Amino acid sequence: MKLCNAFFLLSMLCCAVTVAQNDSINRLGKVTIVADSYVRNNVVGQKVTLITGDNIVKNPTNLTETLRFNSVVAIRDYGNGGTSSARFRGTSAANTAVMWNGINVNAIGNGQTGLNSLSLNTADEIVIKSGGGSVKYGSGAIGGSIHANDNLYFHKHQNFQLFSSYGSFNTTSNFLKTNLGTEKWALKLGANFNKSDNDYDLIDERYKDANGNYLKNSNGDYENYGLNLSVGYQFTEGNTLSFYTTGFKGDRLFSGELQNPSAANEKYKDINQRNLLVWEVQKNQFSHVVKTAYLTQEYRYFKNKNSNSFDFGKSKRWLFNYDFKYHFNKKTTINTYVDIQNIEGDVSGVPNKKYREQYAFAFGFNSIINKQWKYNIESKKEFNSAFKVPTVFSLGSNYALNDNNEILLNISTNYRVPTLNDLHWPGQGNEDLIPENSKQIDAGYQYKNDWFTFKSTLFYMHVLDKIIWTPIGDINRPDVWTPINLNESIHKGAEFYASFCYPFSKYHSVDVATNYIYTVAKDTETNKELIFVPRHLFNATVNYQNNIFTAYVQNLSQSKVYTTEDNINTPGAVLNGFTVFNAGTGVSLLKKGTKSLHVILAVKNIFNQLYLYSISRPMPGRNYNLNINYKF
Amino acid sequence: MKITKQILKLLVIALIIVSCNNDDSIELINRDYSNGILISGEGSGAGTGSVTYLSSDQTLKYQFIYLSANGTQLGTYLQSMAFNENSAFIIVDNANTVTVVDKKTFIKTGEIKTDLNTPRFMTVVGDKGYITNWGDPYNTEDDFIAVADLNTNAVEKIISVSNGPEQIVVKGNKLYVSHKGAYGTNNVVSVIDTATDDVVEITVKENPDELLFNNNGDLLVLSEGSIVYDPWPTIKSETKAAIHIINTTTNTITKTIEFKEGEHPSLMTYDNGQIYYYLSGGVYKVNSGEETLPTTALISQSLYGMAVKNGNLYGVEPSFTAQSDLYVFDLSTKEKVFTTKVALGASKIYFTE
Repeated sequence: MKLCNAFFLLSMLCCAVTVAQNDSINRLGKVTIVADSYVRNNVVGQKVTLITGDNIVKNPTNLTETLRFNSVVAIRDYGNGGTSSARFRGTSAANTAVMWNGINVNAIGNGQTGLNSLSLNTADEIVIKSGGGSVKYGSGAIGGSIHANDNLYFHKHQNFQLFSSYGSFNTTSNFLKTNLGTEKWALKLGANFNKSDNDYDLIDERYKDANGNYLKNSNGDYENYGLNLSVGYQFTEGNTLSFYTTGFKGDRLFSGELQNPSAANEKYKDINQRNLLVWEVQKNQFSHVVKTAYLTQEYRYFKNKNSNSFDFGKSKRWLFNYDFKYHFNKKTTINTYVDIQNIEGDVSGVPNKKYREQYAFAFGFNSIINKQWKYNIESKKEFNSAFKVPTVFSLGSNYALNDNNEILLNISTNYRVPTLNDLHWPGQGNEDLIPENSKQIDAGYQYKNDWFTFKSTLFYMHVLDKIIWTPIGDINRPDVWTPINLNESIHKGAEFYASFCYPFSKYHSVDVATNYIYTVAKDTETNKELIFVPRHLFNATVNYQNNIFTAYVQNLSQSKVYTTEDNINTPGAVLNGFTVFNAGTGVSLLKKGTKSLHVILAVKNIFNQLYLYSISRPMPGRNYNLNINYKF
Repeated sequence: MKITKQILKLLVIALIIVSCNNDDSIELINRDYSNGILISGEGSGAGTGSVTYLSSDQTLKYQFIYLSANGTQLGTYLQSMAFNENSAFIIVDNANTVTVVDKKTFIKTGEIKTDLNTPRFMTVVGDKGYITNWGDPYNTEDDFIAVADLNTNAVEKIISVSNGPEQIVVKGNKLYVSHKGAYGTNNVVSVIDTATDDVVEITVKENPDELLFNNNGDLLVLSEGSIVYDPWPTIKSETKAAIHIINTTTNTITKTIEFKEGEHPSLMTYDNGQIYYYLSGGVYKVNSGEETLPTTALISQSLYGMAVKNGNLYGVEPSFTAQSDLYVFDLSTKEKVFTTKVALGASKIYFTE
């Protein structure tokens, strides 16, 4: 992967002058409620990056695309718009926690979040936290976590954003985002709608029909709707009540593979609903946050889209969380929290509903030793009705060398609990499973000045007792696939992020954001690389803007991945590395105060590159879309 | 705008570097695969269905022979293969495709791609291919045999049959089809007259799968028996497995050797008067004329596919995430005499000599 290195050097060299994204919170300078303020402001010793609304509108089609072009998360999907799962640092999809306003929303059935089963287009920001975070974010936060936050602003404001895009393959992505507020009230309303025929040409020269035309991606249509509402009320300063609710409904067909994509006939539906109530009181040296949430999730899988029979998985989850902080002084804080969760799962084929109760107690100590040095220690113990959960702990520390340079350290242990499927799948589940667990160390260096931000992390992670489905799982039933705690793996590598934003003059500005991750993830027993883990993953966005004109180029590069556990290095068992480019250009038709109107024409995969994330499932070739982004 | 220009320049340079080294083409290789052993692998998310060639003396092995010959892949899941004098037919069920290749070189000569729905097995009668199809595996009413004209590779008609047609064999003008029942269960062997397409059913024990002819020309049927859990491990209902011997002149069952309750064999092969079957972790041998089944295994080995030739038993233990294992056992010593890595998800073994 010469290319990745080249790009990396490039970003290092040119980004000598830049600026971090100004976040809305600083700009407004007013009281803002972020449900998951911890990840936003209080993570110590770990690398955190942001995907802002401006990034989202460049890749609005689905969350898979948003993350691919803007983060270090490697994503495997089964065709464009199909099942999609995120992996940090070569860990599994179930080792990635997806958080909605601070609540872990990974499915109860398989422990993952399908990235095309939710839409985060109206999120105010998506925060990417690399590395384990089980103390705070629970099961699954082994490799890293993805946080979507809806923010509430308590000051007089009225902001609307309407975004609409239409393009190739009848693809449309639209959302409306409204933020309203006074000193007392804050409201956010988001609505989104995405739809596509997704019937693109599979641009592999080797597979053509009798007339010499490319085969088409068949049975790939999708359509989804989402609605989010967040309301906050500020009783007095430091005493707020906020309520978040969201609903999502998605209908998808699962597309086919080469050599005969037209054989595909599967259908999938998602219905998710989440509610969260947060009461936050800060008084004197005390702060209390009480949260309660009720989440429902349902999927229906139709083997035959024309038939009414389907398999399903349903879950209901209720949780209560009380977080207490005591500030001894400005420098020292202790906090403790209690988390109670009640889970009900119902999967077709599993005769009885399954229940799980869990209680967790956590304790944290934060200390700012001096202007330069701060650290925190956190620990959590979870009790679970189904199995024993290890006590996890985390130690984080930031040390500022001077105003610009900072070094970071984090040591933590993390876990992922067996899912309901792992435990109870009829005839195959294994009730003796224990949670997967990991030990990790992150060492980081960050540089920041007014224009330029650089973040880097070296990581080392040991994942144990990995839950693997295998036909040798049960010695008494040799041909039956069952899950067991089998493998161990070691993940090491480095992550880098650099961004700059340089206003050349009053009218011109250039900003660049780039991510690179180098990962070596190997099974400790076989010493083979884990499958679908690229050694190099790189992306970059270069954006130029003046008062009328705007243009950007995006790039994504991924190196070769092995698809088999014995790492056979032949064309049938590897996915080649690739580089794709997107670009967009447009005009600003209106720019007055907070009002703006942009019309952008975007070309994706400009060079019509054949690239795949799953065997026999090429991604779309060159395609176009036109979008309008109106803020008023 | 110096910096902007420089960035764009560098982007373009980087792009050129990438564009140059991206090459997905595969060097096509022309080999002779006509004398040896072919092992087909179903494939999985880790790689599509593929075929491994092993020479009869086990000295030469080639993986992904369809990919090497054609530069393209077969799709998942490669269910089975069928052969006639010159061609091999590769049946991939999820792709609703039968790929026709030259038997010697494995170079593609055609494909049957329309009017198939979850194809499973095929047999060739003259210039006609008979392909069993499940249709929607949950639907018990839409199962059929597709009759393909092998000159045009088009399905010319379909013959509706009972649920879940699996293996298909031919003797004279009669086709025999075992109905394993797709995702459900079934308990018939269909007999189809190739001249009239008339279907007659013979009732057997539940879930008939393997079909073979013995030296007398009788049809051997392995019925696996069924087992229904409510919930696992509580057994709601269970039926016994059996080996049936069917007289192909009268199409009646002449002998049924029942397995014990709770035993569900999954593989059967026949060589020189001996029936070999696989039952939970072991291979057993029974003389075709015996009335009772052995109680001890000939060979202890977990297998997913097996075949017997020249005193050797070939068995595959599959992996769906890595290459599978092929084992060769000497039947006289019962020792494992050869092991090698073969296709992903290996399931069937064919001798091409």
